[in-house]
Amino acid sequence: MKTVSWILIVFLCSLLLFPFSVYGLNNTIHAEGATFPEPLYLYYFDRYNELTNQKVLYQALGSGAGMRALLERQADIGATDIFLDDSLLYSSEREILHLPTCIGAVVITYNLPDNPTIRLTPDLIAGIFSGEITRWDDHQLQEVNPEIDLQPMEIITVHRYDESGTTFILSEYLSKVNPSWAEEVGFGKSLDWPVGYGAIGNAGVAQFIQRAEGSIGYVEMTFAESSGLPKALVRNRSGFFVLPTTISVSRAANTDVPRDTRIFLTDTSTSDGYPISAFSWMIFYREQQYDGRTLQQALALRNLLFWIVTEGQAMNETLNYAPLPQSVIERALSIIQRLTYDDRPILEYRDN
Amino acid sequence: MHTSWQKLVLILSMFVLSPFILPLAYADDEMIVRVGVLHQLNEDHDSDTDVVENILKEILEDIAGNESWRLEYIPGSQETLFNLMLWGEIDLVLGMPYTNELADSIEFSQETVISTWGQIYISPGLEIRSLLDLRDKTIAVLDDDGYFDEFRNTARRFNIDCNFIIANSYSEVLEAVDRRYVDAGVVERTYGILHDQDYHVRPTNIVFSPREVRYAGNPYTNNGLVATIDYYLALYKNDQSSVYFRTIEKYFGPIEPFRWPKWLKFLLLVIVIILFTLSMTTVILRLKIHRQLEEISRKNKELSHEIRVRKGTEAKLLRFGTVVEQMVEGVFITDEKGYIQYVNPALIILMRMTEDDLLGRKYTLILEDVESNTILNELNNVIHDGKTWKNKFTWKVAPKDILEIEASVAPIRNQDGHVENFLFVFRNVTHEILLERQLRQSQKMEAIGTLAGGIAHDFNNTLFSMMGYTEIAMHILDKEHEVHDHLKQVISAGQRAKGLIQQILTFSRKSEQEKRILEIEPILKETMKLIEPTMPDHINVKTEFNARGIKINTDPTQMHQVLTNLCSNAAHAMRKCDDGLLFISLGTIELDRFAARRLQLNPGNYAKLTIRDNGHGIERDVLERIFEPFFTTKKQSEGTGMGLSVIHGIVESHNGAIDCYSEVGRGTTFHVFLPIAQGNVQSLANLELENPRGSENVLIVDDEESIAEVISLMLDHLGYKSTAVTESRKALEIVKENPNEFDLLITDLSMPGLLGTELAREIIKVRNNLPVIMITGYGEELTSHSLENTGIREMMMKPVLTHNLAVAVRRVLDQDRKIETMVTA
Repeated sequence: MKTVSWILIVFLCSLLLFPFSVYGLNNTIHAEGATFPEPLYLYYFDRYNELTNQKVLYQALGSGAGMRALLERQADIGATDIFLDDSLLYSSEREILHLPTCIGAVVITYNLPDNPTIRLTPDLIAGIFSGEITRWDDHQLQEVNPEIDLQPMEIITVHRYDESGTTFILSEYLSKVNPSWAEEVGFGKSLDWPVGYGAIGNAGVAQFIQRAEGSIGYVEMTFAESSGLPKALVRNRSGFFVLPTTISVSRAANTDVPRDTRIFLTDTSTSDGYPISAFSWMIFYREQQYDGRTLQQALALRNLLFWIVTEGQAMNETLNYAPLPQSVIERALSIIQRLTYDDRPILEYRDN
Repeated sequence: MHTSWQKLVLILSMFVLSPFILPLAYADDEMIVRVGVLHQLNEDHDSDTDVVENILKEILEDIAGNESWRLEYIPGSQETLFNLMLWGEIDLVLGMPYTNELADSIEFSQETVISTWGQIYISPGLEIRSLLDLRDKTIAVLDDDGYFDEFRNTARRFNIDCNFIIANSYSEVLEAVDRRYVDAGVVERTYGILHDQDYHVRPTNIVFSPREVRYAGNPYTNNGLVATIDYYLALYKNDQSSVYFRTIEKYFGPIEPFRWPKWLKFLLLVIVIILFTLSMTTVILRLKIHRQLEEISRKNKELSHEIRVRKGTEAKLLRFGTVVEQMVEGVFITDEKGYIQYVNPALIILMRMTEDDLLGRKYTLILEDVESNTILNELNNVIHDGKTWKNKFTWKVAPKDILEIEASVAPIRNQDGHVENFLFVFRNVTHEILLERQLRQSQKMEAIGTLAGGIAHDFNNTLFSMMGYTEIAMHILDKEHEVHDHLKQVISAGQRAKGLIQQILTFSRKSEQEKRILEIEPILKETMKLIEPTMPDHINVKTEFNARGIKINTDPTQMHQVLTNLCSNAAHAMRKCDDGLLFISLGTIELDRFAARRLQLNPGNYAKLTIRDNGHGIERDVLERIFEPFFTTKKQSEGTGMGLSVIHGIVESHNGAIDCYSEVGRGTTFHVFLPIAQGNVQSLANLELENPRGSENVLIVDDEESIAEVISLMLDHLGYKSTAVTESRKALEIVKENPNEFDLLITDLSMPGLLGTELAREIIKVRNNLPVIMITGYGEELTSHSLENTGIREMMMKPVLTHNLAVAVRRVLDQDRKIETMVTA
């Protein structure tokens, strides 16, 4: 363990000393996938291009598309909010690594007169999106929000129509916390929603909510922030109503994260963590010598990934993304360590 | 709803068709038909397909009733039903949209039950005209109706990015549009027709994905169901009262061939109202216009009448105005105080002033040149009293221009009798007054003529007896006798006396002149013989006679008078010329029409007598008046002013004309035209020009005794009593002793003692009317000054012939006598 640490330190130092090598100058890295981290990733890649002259293209087509892009070798990096399940992971010819880059949160947002901050319990969320609770002045809502004079209005729900990690996280959370939801609706990237309008993309949901008074939906936290939409406090497992912030979301990751980081952060055990949180990952092949890829390409990828989980993390909060906690960064670095080129760890290769 | 005959047709058709249908019904009693229906899983679904399915169901149930089918409905999704059909589990599917792909594996009915399509609905506030307007718009769609996919594909083809909100039902779509959650919604058109009125939405013209809804049958069972359904559908579609139409009407309302849009109806209503309003307005306006036209035509008539009256008045005014403007009389009109308001052109000419000088001035200022204060006083009274006035006065309009004016003033009164203006009319009567004076002169002359005529008559009688006795005596005496010649002289003197009488009568125009046809040339030549010697030495006389044998009807005495007078005037005009030329010619001329007209003669042949001098000429204004009687430029003693007027009268009495050309400083030419007469010369018996004789006492003074005796003898022969002396002082003494003894003094100019002129001057002191004939041997010209205050009448050059002497003596004596006669008159 200590040896590993020493190697890591030496590696880091070497990277810092020669951080922005000439590798990959003319080798654009292609990334594709989730829409949720798109603003962050674009910001990463712009900054990184400025620093290293390394071009990175990102196409935000959704988590599912990111997975397919990698599996079909259309992209060097896939971006996803959902980790690959075991069946997918093991069906792959090559080992796929998950590198967490940030922590996302699903924010319950709404459009109500006077813009109050409402409190929601997991059961209320499930009741609303399942169509059991149809009015804002429902006594269950009023009980949780005694200080708010909720209007006698019909609840209009809006959900993601397209396949979405956001939907997945929410439904995974609700399935975890609400048995009836787990039974009747379940979880997945897209669902057969019992009620409500479907919108495409976070932006579509955010837009709809802005237009429809009495509406309620869910978006990634960043969209709620950038749209100025209200965010509901959600009661976590510890019984605290937590406002989704970069801090509370980041705290949600202060839990036992497995080595491959494939974990649902929802319904976190941390008392001050926001319960509907999740990692956002970049996925890539561990062995980078495939389809005639050069060592330079591999090194460029390695350097990019390393930069993201180290220096890049400082940018997360700027864009309202929750940064990885230190424990997770360590996990991330160890994942990068596992990258190989021609079955040799890429760390053993020097930038020159 | 349906008429009875339509029902009858339906029933009849059923009967006709029954043979085809009945066997099927009987063959399979209560045939079970398994019918798949879409969208029946969820009771809450209110998709349009429900409507379509219901229609399909109801029609199918009607057919089933006819065919004795028993229908069993099997709900399911499109995919499920499709699979069930392929497995042979169901016979029919309702509401399966017809597509070419499906048609390969499913037997669709030939007849379409209903056609439908997707349509974009929007909230009323939005402006969506075409697909392009939907860019960046949020559109509510239904996930599983197929229109979403087709619309999204269409939008992508046109590169139109839209946000989609997926609803669970069309009602949600329309509600989202209604509540503005979205900008637009995609709705199946039958649902839209049935429900759009429930929402605050409106359909756009954007339609897409047309679909035909048919019955879908299982191609493998081949039980003839679809064919039977097609048969019935065809039948129903031709019958307005069939279940097909009933069902459709039930869901969609009465089918009309064309539904007028509400806005069109409204528009038409508005147009009709507008047209009605316009037509009513038109009618009202027409009535008004008609009334106004009547009014206008009435006023027109009044106006045209007024115009006629005015035109008449104007014409009158114009006529009066023109009359006043063109009047020969000078007119001015003043106001009631006498200030001039109008003047006519004639007055301006009369006054030698401009209109500006006259207008606004008081009439008294105009008339200040009137040479009479009484006139002005009278006029003042007239203006004051407003009376009429008429008078004559002399008006000195310019220093040398004195006019005789006949003036009248009349007040012009208005309708109230108030004097508003005065009308002054001035008539220039200067010419009339001159004529009046001339008339008076003529009357005086006529009186003289009458007197002379009376004397002449008696004198002619006396002369007649004298000449008659003398002629008798001549007859008695032998022609050779000494006395015969004396008697002949008596006759001649008698004739001469007769001529004098006739001349007197000519003045008075009382004489019936005795004209005869005579050759003119000899008469004039003879006259010239008399004139030439009398011409002063400085005047050269030239004659040119080219009229031999030319005869005129004339009185020779008058011809003599004409020539003498004209030559005398010429000599007078040349009296100050150093080199005078008197040219006398006689010729003939043929006057053509134009020349004759100018001379107021008849065209023809005329004898033309020309007397030309190079004297001082006649001024133009004088030239116009030379033939006027009594007009003369000569001094009182030099002429009477009767000469040329007498000549004019003589020539006119010969049916001839006298014409005068003159240039000041260059001379004057007189042409006398006398018509040539045809016929024999009527010769005068004894018409011989003989020496004129006289019986007067003539004192002859000449320092040369022989000359004095000759003259005395000549005069004695001529009948004169002559006393001859050789000393001028003695002659003066003789006259002093007996001042009235002598009638004529014939004296030599240059003599010892007193000169001829001195003698004449001395004698005039003793007797002022003794005529003197000066005989000079040198031809020296006597100045007018030297002739002043002398009785010298004639100058004669030595040697003096008896005839010349006789003529001169006679002329001098006659001249003095003539003057005496006139003075007496």
